[in-house]
Order: sequence, then C-alpha cells, then structure tokens
Amino acid sequence: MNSAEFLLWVRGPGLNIALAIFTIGMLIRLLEIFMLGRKQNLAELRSNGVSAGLRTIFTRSMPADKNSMRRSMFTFVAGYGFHIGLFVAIFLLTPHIQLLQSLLGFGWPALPTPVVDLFTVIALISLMALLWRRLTHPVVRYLSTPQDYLVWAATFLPLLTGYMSYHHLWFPYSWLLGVHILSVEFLLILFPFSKLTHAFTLFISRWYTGMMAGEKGVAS
Amino acid sequence: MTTATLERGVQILKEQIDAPTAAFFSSCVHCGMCADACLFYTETGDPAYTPINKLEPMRRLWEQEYTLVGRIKKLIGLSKPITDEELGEWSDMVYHACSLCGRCSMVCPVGNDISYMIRKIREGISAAGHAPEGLIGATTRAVKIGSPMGIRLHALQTQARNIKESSGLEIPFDQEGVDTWCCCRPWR
Repeated sequence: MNSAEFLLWVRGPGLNIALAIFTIGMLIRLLEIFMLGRKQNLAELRSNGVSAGLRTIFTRSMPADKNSMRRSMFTFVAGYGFHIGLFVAIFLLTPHIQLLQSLLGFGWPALPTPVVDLFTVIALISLMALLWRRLTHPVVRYLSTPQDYLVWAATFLPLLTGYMSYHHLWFPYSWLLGVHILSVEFLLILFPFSKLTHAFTLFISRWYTGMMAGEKGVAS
Repeated sequence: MTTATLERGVQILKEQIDAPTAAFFSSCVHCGMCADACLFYTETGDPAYTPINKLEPMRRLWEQEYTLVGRIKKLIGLSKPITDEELGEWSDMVYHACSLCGRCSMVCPVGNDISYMIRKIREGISAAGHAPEGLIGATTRAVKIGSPMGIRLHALQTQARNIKESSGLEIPFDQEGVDTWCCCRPWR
C-alpha cells in the first residue's frame, strides 16, 4: 500500500466505519443510561429543578470556589489548558471546519492557523503534565486503570500527528496526514466504550445533580 | 425480617442503580478532585478514601449489568463478580469513612453527585448484612422492642408519668387528634 492508497482508505471507508461505530455506540450508551429511569420522588418538591439543572450544566465549567481551586490547582490549570486547546484544535482549524461542513452542511469562521498551532502546543503540554500527574500523584495513580492510559494515548496521538503534519516533521506529509486521520478514527471507535463518553454524559450528570438539588431546594 | 445475604445485597444494589447513577459512572474521568474535597482523604492521605473509589463495587455491578460491553465481558468470564468479603470491606468505606457532607458532589467537574451514590451503595451493603453493628442493633431494637435505644413501653410510660407529675402536663398515649406524636411505639 502506498501513501495515496492509504490516504484514500482512511478518508473513505475508514472514516465511515469509525463514524458508524461512534454514532451507534454513543446511541447505545445514551439509551443504556436513560432506560434506567428514576424512581418516583415522593417528597414534596421545593421546585421542579429545571433552572437549577440548567444552571449547574454551566457553573461546573466555571472555576470553582477559591478553596477548591487552591486544593486542586494542578488539575484545574492542566485540565483547562488541555480542554480549551483540544477544542480550538478540533473545531477552529480551517481543514477541520471544511470536513465538518461537508458532513453537517454548515460551517463557521476559523482561527488563524498559527493561533491554532499555539493552542495545540498548550493541549500537548497539558496532556503530558496530566500523564505525569497520573503516574506520580498517589490518588490519581491509585484510581488509574489501563483504560486511563489507553484513552490518554488515543487523545494524545491525533494532537501529536496533527502537529507533526502541519510542521512537516520527520516523515512525508501524506503519510503523516494518513496516520493523523487514522488516529482520529481510533479515538472515535474507542469513544463509546471508554471514559471518553464523558464529553457527552457530563451534561446529563450535571443536569441530574443540579435538578435533584433544585428539587430539594439546596445549592449545587 | 428478611435474612441478609450476598444475593439480596446484590439484588438491592441493582435496584438502586438509576439513570443518574449510570450517567455519573459514565462521566468519571478519574481526575481525583473529589479526593481533595474529602476530609477522610485530606486527614489520612490514604488514596483509598477517594470518594469515587468508595463506590467501586457499585460501579462494577453497573458495568456488568447495565452496559453492553460489561455484559459481554461477564458472558465470557472477564469480569470480577462482587463477593461477600468485598462488601464487608466496603462497609467501612461507606459508613465509617463518609459523613455524606457532599463536598465531593459540589466540586466534581463533570457534576457527579457522589454522596447521592454513597447513600445508594449503603442500601446494598446493609441488605448484605454488612451495616455497622451499632446500626444493625438499633434497627433490631426498633423493630423488636419499639425503640432504637431499647426503651420498653413501660419505661416510656413511667417517664411520661414522671413528667406529668413534675410539670402538670397531660401526656396522651395512643389517642387520636392530639398535638403530640410519640414515635417510640412498641411493635405489635
């Protein structure tokens, strides 16, 4: 297989297979959650919890109170750095927007490529810092399973290969681009069957937590 | 009372798992921020006291029973079933190493209500017979004697008579429509 054939495969059948597994897998995961339902709440409600639920979806993305910030400073800084960097790299790079436009039918403005490049570097450094923490901090090390390291690698590779493709580092561009797309496909396939699902389910979690707190009339 | 067994504990624990619980377990990224919020971790430095880890048996049960991948793993024998010893060990984690203060639920970045789930895992652990002895005793006394402290009816009546004599207030027993409700009734 030469680089052209490889690129054709990853951009065609490969991408379709990955997208199909991702979509069907995520649908199954969401059904698994919602089909469990909730027991009827017999207590008298302080409110229906809708506004508290919606508020919690937003407030948990914001920095927490000062004390919690101070206690978990490393996770806060690296966590924000990684997630903001990843978001910019995925959704604000011109070729990515063009691909999404061809899939979704609509596009949006991109950031200048050097800016995206900077955010990619921030994401890469944050991810390495988080891996270092996972390997050294007693709590995170204790909690970590092989899946945590697999998911780390699956997230790191698309960023790294994307960065390498843009800078034409060490390998021929067409191979780098092919490997970049393949690594994204691996990420998509892993997505529904790992903790990567949090990108979707965190909104459900925050909603339930906020809503149930609102029903009780307590803060969340 | 139903006898406490592992089967019953697992059954009760299964019934406790609802949509919020499934969303919470699906969302955890093992970041460890709940540990920083937990007084049992910050005071001991023992990573086992990380709040989300206190739910490990329940998380495994959810995975094995309510996810496709978990069911396949269970079918081909790749999953670790919950044992009686394990639930016994976890009793300490969820009764003695948790005050249900809810700080973990307040700081979790993905919004998991961890204390909500601790309340749920306690149901399964007590149904398996691993609740702390003091609680089992109090419950047994409440059912058999009528009071968790073991105060019998005649002792309560004597106390009521003493209060009536010293204060002059009427203390009604088993009467409808009164303002005072005595909740330490014997089980009959």
